[in-house]
Amino acid sequence: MITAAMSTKHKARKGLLFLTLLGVGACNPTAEEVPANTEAPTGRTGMYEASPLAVAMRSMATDMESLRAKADAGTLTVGEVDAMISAHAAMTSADATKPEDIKPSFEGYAEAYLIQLQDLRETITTQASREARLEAFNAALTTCVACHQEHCPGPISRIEKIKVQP
Amino acid sequence: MKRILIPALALLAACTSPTENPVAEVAYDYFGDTIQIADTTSLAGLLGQLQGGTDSVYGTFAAPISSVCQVKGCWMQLDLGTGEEALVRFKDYGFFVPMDAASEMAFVEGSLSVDTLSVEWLRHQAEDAGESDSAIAAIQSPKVSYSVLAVGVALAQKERATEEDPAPHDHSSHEH
Repeated sequence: MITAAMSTKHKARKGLLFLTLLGVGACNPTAEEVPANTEAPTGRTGMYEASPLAVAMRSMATDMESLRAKADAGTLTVGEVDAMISAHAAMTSADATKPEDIKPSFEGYAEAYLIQLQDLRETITTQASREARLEAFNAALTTCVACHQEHCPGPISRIEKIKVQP
Repeated sequence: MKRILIPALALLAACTSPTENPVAEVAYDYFGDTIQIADTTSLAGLLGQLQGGTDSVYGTFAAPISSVCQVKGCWMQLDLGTGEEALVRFKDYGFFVPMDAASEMAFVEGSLSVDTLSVEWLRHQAEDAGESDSAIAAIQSPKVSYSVLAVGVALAQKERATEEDPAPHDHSSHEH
């Protein structure tokens, strides 16, 4: 059960997120790409060389996937979320595959994602309900999906699979 | 009986030894899962199952690549030989194919279905294919298309230049 104070705080954060999303439109490089294994067979030409942003996003996806079970079990720790916040902030300055395709909304989506991770952290520190923690975990992924819908829809199905059903 | 059968089997084995098979083995480059070329089934048969009402069919089939995403190689189109194409995407965005693979024969393992491609996807695909802004803006409606979610792709290895064969053969100065 979420307390009244938590509920107010959540609403405030959601309001901020909503405004952020509205303000930036609907895309972000946060969701640019999440391929897992794109190494070329030896000698093959024409293979994509991952951009720094692609590398950052692969790492983000791997982190979220590896923590999915803990999120489901309600055993995510503050330290694990802090590590993600610290590592995933790199996407805000990483170069994209086609920088010209990065829309102004990217920064907003990236910010929204990091805010959602902070929200997730708070649900842990305040020992919020499992549902509230899952909601925060999934909300972070939702910002990724929203961004990818504008920038690059390829990874969306993979991201959706990371979400945990309450 | 055994006295006859055993030498006969030995003779048969010797005659069918792979080392004496004159057919050269083709080497493949694999993307995603290492699929089994030997499992390749008829594409026409798979399409027939779909046309017969099956929602999706899973298998390994071969078809020439008509185009590849020119940004990352994250999708490709196959020529089905029926005047239609199939859009191939890769499971969990987990692997890409070479961007210069158009016209190569692809062996693909995955799930084939008929899908409705959204306007957003079609525009994204057109962008990746390098189409003009006006062509992209002209995309206004979804498209029903064959669609494949592939777990693996195999392409025959290309001949690679070696030090013994550094330059293409020049035919201009002589006749064969």
